[in-house]
Amino acid sequence: MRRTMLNAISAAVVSLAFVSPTVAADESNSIVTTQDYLPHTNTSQTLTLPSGEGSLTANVWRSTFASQTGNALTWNWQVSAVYSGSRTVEWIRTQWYSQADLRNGASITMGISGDSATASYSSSWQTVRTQVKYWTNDNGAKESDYRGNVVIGPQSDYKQGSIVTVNTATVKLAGDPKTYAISAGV
Amino acid sequence: MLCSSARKPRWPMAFTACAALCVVTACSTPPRPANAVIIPGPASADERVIEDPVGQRFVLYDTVKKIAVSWTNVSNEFVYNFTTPSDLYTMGNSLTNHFSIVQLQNGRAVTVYTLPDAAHDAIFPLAADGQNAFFLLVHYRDDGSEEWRHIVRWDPTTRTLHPFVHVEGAIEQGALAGPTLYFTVLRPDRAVWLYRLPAANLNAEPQLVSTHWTDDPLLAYEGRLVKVADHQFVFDSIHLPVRAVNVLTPQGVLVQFDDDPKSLTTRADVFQLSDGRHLGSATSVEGVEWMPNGVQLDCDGRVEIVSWSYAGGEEENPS
Repeated sequence: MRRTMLNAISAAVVSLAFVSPTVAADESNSIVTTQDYLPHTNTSQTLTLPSGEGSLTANVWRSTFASQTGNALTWNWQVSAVYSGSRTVEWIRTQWYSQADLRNGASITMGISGDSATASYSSSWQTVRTQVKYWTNDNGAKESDYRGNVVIGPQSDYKQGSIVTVNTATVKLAGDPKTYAISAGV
Repeated sequence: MLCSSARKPRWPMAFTACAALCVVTACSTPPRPANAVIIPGPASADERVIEDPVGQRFVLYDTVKKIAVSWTNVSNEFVYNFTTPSDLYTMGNSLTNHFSIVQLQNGRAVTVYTLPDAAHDAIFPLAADGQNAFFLLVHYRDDGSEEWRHIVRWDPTTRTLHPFVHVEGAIEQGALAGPTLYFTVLRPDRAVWLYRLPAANLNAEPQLVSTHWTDDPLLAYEGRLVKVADHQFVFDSIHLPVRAVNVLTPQGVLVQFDDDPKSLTTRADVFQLSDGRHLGSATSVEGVEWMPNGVQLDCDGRVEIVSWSYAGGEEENPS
């Protein structure tokens, strides 16, 4: 992969302000675009690299409230890996997953092909995790980012407040044989 | 001066004393040091430890369910591989070091060498050809800055490392082309210089080959380096793109791993370098196992085997 998926993501994550445009689903299943502020939960973790090579930051962002469409709950999410420093980046990767407590065959997906996971048909709560997906930039960019929607359904078999989204940022710098990583989760 | 006989490596002297420690540790079960890397162990006969070359980790793979069940997932612990098929890997923590040489044997990871100065040394695969293995040894100061790099030869019989006396500098990549070991050095002005020396002679003085090399992957086939131009491997009239991980077998089979932009999983592609034939591919690759004349790609939900004849070329592909 040799392109930047989202150039503006980091700015959005750092500013914690307006996400423009934001895609949301309404009750009638139609998709609307809004310029409105989207309440969200976010965090960043930064790893200071040895020997003054700079720092690596993992950012993760998820909308605070889910929109409900029929029986499904949908959140927006964004992740990014950002290298700050003067070294040349061989590659930089953002890698993510989400998990939630589900039951009775409920499922969770982050909108990427093949990432969905399903709880077993039991009335007891189970922590179910999507498949790990990742995006790498190896074009010299100092940032890698991605965003999408996480969907859980049915809503009645989701344990409220249990959703977690984790992002791991990984970087390989030219001239340094080591690989570095840092994770953040909301 | 990057490759000089004037400046003697410091490591060989330390190594003599540390060799005794190595012998001791090889004969007993030492307590695992703090921050040591933890490798997943198979819980049943169905589980095998395999290597994920893109994620740079070991994966515990269930061969019956065909799923990955666990990983080496401690932050900043990574696995490093050769650019030729090998059962030897190195593994360590990017912040605390504690590097070791690990061998995958029958689906299990066995630590065959632990660096004596665990806090200050790190080791990375450099070049191998099935019989010989060379590593890049890096020594760090207390503040984490690099002090020196050396190339060392692995002796599997005694499980010891032997340095090339006259090789130092910012060594980056290496490749074995017959009896010759090629390696690149990153110069302070960011130029990449290419050197060569006889792989069997630890006292050999490196010969400068080029002062205008590149940081593209360094691979060798049929006794010569594979040319790389415009981010493509060039072999006669064949052009194949460079991928994130590129492994070249002695038969001239290029096994490549990279991100699959559709599934956002690891994709593997296998090519015959001499004629560019595509021998096989897979997505959702969790890890790889090398076979005598083939590669087993352990994927999420299935296993793909790509085989080739001794002379190269596709033999059979059950998938």
